[in-house]
Amino acid sequence: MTKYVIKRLLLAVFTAFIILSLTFIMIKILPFPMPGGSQIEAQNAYFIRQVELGYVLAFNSPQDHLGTCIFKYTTSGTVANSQTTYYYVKPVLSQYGAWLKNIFTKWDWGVSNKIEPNVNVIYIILSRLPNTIKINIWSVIISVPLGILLGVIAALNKNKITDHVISTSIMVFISIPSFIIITFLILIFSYKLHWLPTKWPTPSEPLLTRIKGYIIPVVSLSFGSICGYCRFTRAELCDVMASDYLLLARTKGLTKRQTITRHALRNAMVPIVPSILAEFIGILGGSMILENLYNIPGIGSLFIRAISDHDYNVLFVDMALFTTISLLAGVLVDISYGFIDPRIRMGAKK
Amino acid sequence: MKKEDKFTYLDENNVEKVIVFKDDDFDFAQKDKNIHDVELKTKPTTFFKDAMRRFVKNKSSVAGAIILGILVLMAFIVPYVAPSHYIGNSPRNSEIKLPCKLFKSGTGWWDGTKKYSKIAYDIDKNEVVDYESRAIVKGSLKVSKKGDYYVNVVQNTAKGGYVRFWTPASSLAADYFFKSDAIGYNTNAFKYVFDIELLDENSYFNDSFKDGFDKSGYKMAPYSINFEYTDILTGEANTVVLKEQSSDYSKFSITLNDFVEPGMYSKAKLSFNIKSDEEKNSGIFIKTVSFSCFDSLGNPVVNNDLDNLSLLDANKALLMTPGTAGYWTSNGNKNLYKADMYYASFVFDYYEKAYGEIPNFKFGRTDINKYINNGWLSFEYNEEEKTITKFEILNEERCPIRSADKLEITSKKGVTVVNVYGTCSQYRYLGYSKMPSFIFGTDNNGHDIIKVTFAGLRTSLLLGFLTFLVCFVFGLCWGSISGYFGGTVDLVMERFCDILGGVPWIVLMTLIIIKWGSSFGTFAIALCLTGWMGTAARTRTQFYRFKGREYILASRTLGSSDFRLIFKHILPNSMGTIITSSVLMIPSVIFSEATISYLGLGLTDMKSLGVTLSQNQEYIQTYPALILFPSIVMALIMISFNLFGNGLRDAFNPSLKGSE
Repeated sequence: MTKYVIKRLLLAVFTAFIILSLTFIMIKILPFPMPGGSQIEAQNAYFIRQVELGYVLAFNSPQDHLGTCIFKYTTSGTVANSQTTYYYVKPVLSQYGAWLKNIFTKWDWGVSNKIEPNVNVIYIILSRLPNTIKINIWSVIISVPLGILLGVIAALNKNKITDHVISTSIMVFISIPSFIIITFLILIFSYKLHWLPTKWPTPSEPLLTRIKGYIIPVVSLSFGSICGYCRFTRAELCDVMASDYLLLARTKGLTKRQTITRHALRNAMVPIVPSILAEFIGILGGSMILENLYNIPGIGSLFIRAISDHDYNVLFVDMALFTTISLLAGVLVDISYGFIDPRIRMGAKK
Repeated sequence: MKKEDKFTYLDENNVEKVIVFKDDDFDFAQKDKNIHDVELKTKPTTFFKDAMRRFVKNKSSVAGAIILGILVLMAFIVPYVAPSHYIGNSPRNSEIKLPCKLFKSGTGWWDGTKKYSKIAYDIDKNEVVDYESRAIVKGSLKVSKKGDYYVNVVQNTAKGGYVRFWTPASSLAADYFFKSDAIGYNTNAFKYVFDIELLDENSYFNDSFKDGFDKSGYKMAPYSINFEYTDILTGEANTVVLKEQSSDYSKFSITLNDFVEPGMYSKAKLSFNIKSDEEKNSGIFIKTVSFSCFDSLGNPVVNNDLDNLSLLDANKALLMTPGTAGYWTSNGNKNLYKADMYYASFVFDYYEKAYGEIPNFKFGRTDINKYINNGWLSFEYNEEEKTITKFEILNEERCPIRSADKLEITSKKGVTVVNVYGTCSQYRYLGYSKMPSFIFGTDNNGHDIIKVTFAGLRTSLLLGFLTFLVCFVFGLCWGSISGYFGGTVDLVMERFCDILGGVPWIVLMTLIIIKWGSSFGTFAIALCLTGWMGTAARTRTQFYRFKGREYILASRTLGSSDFRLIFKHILPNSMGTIITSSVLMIPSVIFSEATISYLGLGLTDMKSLGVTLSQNQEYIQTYPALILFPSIVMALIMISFNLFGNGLRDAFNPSLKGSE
């Protein structure tokens, strides 16, 4: 089992490394992100930082053979004693080398150029992560029990009217894109009925408003997961219910309730639990549009802002986060299968 | 008589029953027929026929397929069939964001009208501010009565009220004045009278009108009225107190001649001077100040300048800007109090506004000539007398000019310009033959929302189908190679897929679009980069399933090449399953494209459904109709595609055969 876990983890780390490297190189092929703001000193500080990080070279005289100069800074003072610094972008591969060195030796992921100029990207991401996590935790808390409950109800009433109603509505809701659900929720409950705030409340607003502010994001995130869990649970439970061992359990004298709680549900849970883990992590990336439409200052809306502001460093670290999260989710699912399902665990031992 | 077998028995009530068997009751199972194998009675069926039969049994999938078919058909027909929206390059403002109209105007619902209430009403002009009277549905206009509403903020449509002139509590007792500049009459010896009306203290504090002022911390101030002037002879500036410190808040007149000798002053101004109270806000309310002038016989003299200086309407006086004759100003706090305001509630017909008839519209000679040449109009005029001699509409449907009211002929530098003023029917003027109605309104560019939506859907479908084709072909090849050869080839190819599949598609697409822009081609390529892996995996599974079968072995034994085995034997067998499960890629591509549009990276050269949706998102509060219809179409296409795709997949899945 340990060997299996290590193997999966190593593969994931290797994959993550390759993906991040490719992403880094692709980002660096894009035009060099110039700092925002109009203050020339602040812009110069950004370039000094870039030189420290090893992405840019600084010279005291123009170096035409290195390509075009991306930034020129002249110190204030008289013409005689002022000094001009010329900045040139390093070749992509040497930037890549510098990047590897920064990450492995200093855990330095660089600074933002537009969103919060000269601020460490890790700090920007960390300051926005709590909002995203909060919404997602609430969404999981609501969607897991509801989804499984609906799935169990549908499976126990298979091919009856209850099952048809649940299955059809699940089918419909799983097909409707999340942004349309969000739009309609905002349209109806915020703008028409005025029950809920139209956008994410700021921390200074009263407690009640802040609590109400959670409703639309959590509901819209939960919709998809509820449908997913429900469909999955129904399919699994239907499979188990039709199995021979359940018939055996009934013939040996267990009541229907006993067979369901002791045998059917537990066996059906085997694939459901890992999917919950995957969902818990994977959902972090699913809230990008929601965060944008509802003005939530989370990492999803940060991603969109980084795109529109051409803040590629923030974009890169945000992408790295999403990639890692999705890879981690995959690994976790595989490993948790091993822990939950004895058949897989035994198989791995051989 | 045939021989009969009789049986007798006792039933449970001990009654004797008899059963008689005849020879006819029995038949030989086999008498004269040939004994050989019976041919099959069941009908033959193919895999596809059977799948079709199972698909049709699934009601929701059939419904999905029908809706999908209708939507796809509409996506390709509607953009061509729907009429063009506007003549010229840009829409007129009135054609932008028209509301939904399905029924005739006046039906009350879905008729292109909007209900408005509490819109400022100009009682002098008898019209609603900013809303054309001609487009207001007849009989729907209701105007509030005098006294229903008061406002304390100066605005164009308010009337009357008081000028409130005040000083805050705890500020030092200070002089504030309200002045009217330049009452300068130094030439004649008339008698000048100021009629002044103030708000009565008692009526103010007893008033039940909720005016928004906190009366508890408020006090009517004692005031004096001063007259400042420059002596014409000596040039000295003088101030005369016309009324001493007073707490008389009512109507009174002051005759100026009692204080100053007529004809002796210039640059004069009248000022109200109030005493501040240290504990309460203090002030006075001036309703009117009117100047009048009488000659020596006591007859009033008409003097427009004086009338202009009068403060007859508090709201109007406060609206005056510096420099105008009747400008009243103060160096203290002043504002409006209790001005009458009129509000209207009405139903506004936006289609009437955009396409209805407008009176007094100027038609040029070229316009008129065009109508005459088209045979729409018969028109003659007399150039000398400048009269219209003949006006007859020949084509009721198309002729934009409905009546000719005035002829204008001007000659400039030898060029004669002829203009006809008359009623213009706007929809005919724009080239429509009847009043247009857009079922879901128009968008912010003046386009019909239905047309825009279906044009967008067409782009989305094209993108989805193109991506599906490319991904399918590539995935099929990849999966075939990987699945057929297995071993190291398979392992390497699988690892490659693992790594590429590990990149979240949003990340990959974002990078590509930032780098190469979001044209249709780039979009398709970006979508293809990740899209093929599902098909590849499915193909691989199918190959693993079939490559061990006996018929493959048999074919191999006969010497078939790899190529023949793949394309003649395995692929045709697995094709149905692969295609049907890959069809679901189309809705997922549409979804991906819409998601990317929401990130602000949507298609730039063509308008897709996602771009339409994300661009209209900003009107969610003001014009929700702009989002409603595209959203519904989006939801419908996704639902129907999924229902259809799932049904198809299940029907073609051999392992589900017979399980229903």
